[in-house]
Amino acid sequence: MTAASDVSMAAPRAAARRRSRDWSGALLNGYLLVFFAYMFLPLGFMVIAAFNAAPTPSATDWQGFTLRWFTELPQDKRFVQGLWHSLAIAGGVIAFSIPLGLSGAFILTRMQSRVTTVLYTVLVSPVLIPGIVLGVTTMIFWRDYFGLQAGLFTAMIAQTSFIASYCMLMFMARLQRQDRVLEEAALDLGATPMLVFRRITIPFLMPTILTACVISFLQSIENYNTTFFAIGSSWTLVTEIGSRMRFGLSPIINAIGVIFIAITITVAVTHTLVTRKRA
Amino acid sequence: MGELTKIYGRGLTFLFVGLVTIWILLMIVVPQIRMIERAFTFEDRGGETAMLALDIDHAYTEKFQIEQQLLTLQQQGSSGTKSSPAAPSPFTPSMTVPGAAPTAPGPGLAPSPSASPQNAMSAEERQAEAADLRSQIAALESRITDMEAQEDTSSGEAGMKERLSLDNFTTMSALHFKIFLMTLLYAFTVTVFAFVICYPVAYAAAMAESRNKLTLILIGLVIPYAINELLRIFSWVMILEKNGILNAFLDGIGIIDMSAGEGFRFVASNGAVFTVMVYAYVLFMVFPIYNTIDTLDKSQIEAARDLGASVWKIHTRVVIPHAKPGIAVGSIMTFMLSAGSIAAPEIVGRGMHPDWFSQLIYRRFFEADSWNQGSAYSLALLTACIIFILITMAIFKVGVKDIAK
Amino acid sequence: MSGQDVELTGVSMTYPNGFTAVQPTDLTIKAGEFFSILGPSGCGKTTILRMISGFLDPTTGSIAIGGEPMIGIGPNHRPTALIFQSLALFPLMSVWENVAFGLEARGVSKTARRKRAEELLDLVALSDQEDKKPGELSGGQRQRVAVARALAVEPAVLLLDEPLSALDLKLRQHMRAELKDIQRKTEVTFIYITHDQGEALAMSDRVAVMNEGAIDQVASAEDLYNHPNTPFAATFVGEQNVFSGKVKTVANGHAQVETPHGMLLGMNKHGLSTGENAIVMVRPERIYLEDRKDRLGPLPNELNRIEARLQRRDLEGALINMYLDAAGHSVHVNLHNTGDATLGAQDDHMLLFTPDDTVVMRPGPMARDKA
Ligand SMILES: Nc1ncnc2c1ncn2[C@@H]1O[C@H](COP(=O)(O)OP(=O)(O)OP(=O)(O)O)[C@@H](O)[C@H]1O
Ligand SMILES: [Mg+2]
Repeated sequence: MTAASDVSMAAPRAAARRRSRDWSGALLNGYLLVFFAYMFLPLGFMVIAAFNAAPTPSATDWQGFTLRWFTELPQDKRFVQGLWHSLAIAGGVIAFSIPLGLSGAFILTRMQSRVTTVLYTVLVSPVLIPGIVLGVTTMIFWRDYFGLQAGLFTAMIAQTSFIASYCMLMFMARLQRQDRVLEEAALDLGATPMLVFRRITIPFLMPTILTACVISFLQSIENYNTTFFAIGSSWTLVTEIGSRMRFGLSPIINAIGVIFIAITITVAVTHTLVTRKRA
Repeated sequence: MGELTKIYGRGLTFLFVGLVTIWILLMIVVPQIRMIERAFTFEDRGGETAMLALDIDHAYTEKFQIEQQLLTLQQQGSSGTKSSPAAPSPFTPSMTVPGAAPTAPGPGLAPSPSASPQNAMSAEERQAEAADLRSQIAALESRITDMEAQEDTSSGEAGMKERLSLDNFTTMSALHFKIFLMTLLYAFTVTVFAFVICYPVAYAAAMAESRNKLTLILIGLVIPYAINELLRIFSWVMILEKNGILNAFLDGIGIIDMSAGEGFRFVASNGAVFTVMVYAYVLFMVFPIYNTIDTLDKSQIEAARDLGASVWKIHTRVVIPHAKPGIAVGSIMTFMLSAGSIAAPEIVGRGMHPDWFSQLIYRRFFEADSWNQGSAYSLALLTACIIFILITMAIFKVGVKDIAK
Repeated sequence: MSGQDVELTGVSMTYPNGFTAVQPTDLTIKAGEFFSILGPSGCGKTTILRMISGFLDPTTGSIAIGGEPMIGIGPNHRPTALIFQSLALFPLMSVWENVAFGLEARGVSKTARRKRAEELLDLVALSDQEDKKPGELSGGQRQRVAVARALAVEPAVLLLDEPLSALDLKLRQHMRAELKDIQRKTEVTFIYITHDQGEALAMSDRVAVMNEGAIDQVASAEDLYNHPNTPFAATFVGEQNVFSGKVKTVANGHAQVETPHGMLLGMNKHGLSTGENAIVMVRPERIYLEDRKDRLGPLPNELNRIEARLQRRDLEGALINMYLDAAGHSVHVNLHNTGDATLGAQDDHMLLFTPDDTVVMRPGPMARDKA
């Protein structure tokens, strides 16, 4: 494929094609740069403002470097309380979503029947319908049928209804890659279903279960739309951030943002590098 | 079922089936049915009851605003002089959480002027004012309790007639209906924009020549994707603010003069909500498309190119047809998130801008306290999303199984 | 360890999608027998095996092992052990844990398990690999681990689903001998599934030929080859030249069939009568060349004769394969390589075969071209 030594008739055409490819490649790379600028610049401004002493968050009106907004953070009782609420909800969400997701995945991958398509549609539907509808229906349902006012519990249930679907999809993807024959082989050797489950199925699913826990945790902590409707008069870290944002900007929000971003980048980079190493 | 019991035995199978049944009944189907039931049940409120509900709402709003003032006061106190008691009011806002009142200006509107004079207050003045505010809150609270007790008795079986009807839908005002349509239109436009913006990125990622480039692109996509929705929205509010970055930029190039108080109010407009949504949800389009293009045999593109196909032809005839399931998934997610977003319009609109349907739903529930009408509105939104999903599936010829990865 | 018999009565299997993979079947496999089921891909072999081991419930009929009806008894409670087509070694467990898994399921203590696993790994000549993971073994070694693992539970019936199909020819031949050896030592009933006829004929006491969900014939290897019952069994096991025509006359156990190649006389074991459509079959190694007749020794008076023209002649070591054309019909002939380079080399031939080597049957489904 060296152009210089190629003396055939096709050479000029190939060269022209190569030129146009180089050209479109450069265009694409240029576009990528613009796109990533679009993605990261606003976040960059937000980070800068977190260290700016100006009382309203600003990246342009620089009034000196400060860590004040970070130190004020732990003194804000509602934020701290909200963090505990978020963690409690996330714990509940994980505790419910993993078993539910596993059950759904087992039934859907291990059963051949016409019903499974309907079942599948029902079980993934929470992923596809707007989060506020989930919040609303959960709130109504628990109040009307159980007299339960919206609160941390309903928020947890509302989140579980769709996070469990995500978990289920992850487990299904994993189970579809499993040789089902392994479970049968164990059974054939006299193992009880419980032993098969403990020694074969769960070890096989373990990496996915861990990933699902992490993702459920992040989804739960970060959720706004569903939680906003289902949580009633209580609050989580994120709904509190949301309500503060609506009542004017404060650099404290930027400080939280920086912490979120730092955590996100650490997790994302670690995850990408780990999966890359494994591949 | 037989296959399951074969492998996992009766006990575990029973557990799986039981859990899934609970999930479906308690978290998916019955709640939806209950919402539909409410949507078709019309509460015929006597005028008196309705007025009462409105009064209660106003009282809550007023109380919340006072609490906010109190909070600011205390924060200034605690950040200025560490001595003053920083304990927040034990009466945290209830029921109508920051429910933004469309009439009263929120305290966030003009942050700087309201902040500076209070800073100048002495500690004693602050204490006095705080005490005053607390007594106002207490008064409001006793009034609310009274009114709610009254409401409870009157809204019993005697006070309100319920009947099955379409009234919750048909009584939707023309304005609300227009907002509904506009929301769907905006959501659709966000979806189209997201596709146009994302497609080249997804393509570039799938075609990355080296592993390092791919890793870089993926990290670049994952980080903003994983960052909280609210923060992505917030970062844009900073840009669009009256004294935000965009105006500073315009000031810098001499179009406006910020020091003279000039500047565009970009926030609290549908355009701003739209811009922010594109930014916030664009990435939900990238990954599904990337995943499908990635499975395309690269030699197909080479072959098409070799046969002399133009760049346009390669994409319309080879790449896009292959990426259909991804485009469908991306579109469904983007549309659903935009149409149902409450975060973007509330934050960008500062609660002052009730032009997004999700906000109407919120107000039906928490301000008008009309859960049935709220249900009807939610059902309308849900139906719109389902119709969008069905149309997308038909256009792109994909099944439910393709949709979820 | 000792074997038990397996009895299938009217067993059939229809999958939920409505596909019937096994037609109603009666089959008795004797205790301690090496029994093979031979058939093309997709004919229902694995389905039968999965019903015997308890993973599938027959749609109709019943299965008994050692006289005990197996209805409602799960795979973990049957005296069978299955060696899966894909082996199904547990990838996350070491070799010895794999072998000892059945004992673990029976609550045997760890030290006893390990000891027994070592014995079994000795038996299959793998004693130094016990701490490896299955992924670190070669195909043949994995194969042997699967055998050891199945034997560990001391089954009365060992079910093997094409266990050698993934191995190369040399290893396959070696493993055949080893399996046969293990069967002889343990006296366990082996039910062995394969689509490789050489494997089935070489190892088995009896072979069942299966086609499209039905068992065509159950017989010893000799009988199957020499006296096939159906066109399918005749063509699936070994090779056949097939001619079709109409029965002209029937006399003392023979039938004369009119074919495009003239009258052909063959054994009429299925009692065809005059006027019936028929197929006539003869195996490639039972066809002789007329010009070499002098070397064959005494031949019967009545011989079938077909004129044919040589298309291709391949030397395959001990055999010479001749592909000829007889009036548009291709004929395959095997000759022993006598070292004579001119053997069958000329263009035109007269082919001879005896009526006793020729079989007349009613037409029926036949094996498709086998690789
Ligand atoms: N779960 C199932 N549902 C429907 N049809 C099935 C199922 N399993 C197998 N079949 C069909 O039943 C027939 C017999 O399958 P079986 O696995 O028994 O074949 P086999 O003889 O073992 O073939 P091979 O030699 O390729 O392993 C095949 O046509 C197959 O497509
Ligand atoms: Mg098979």
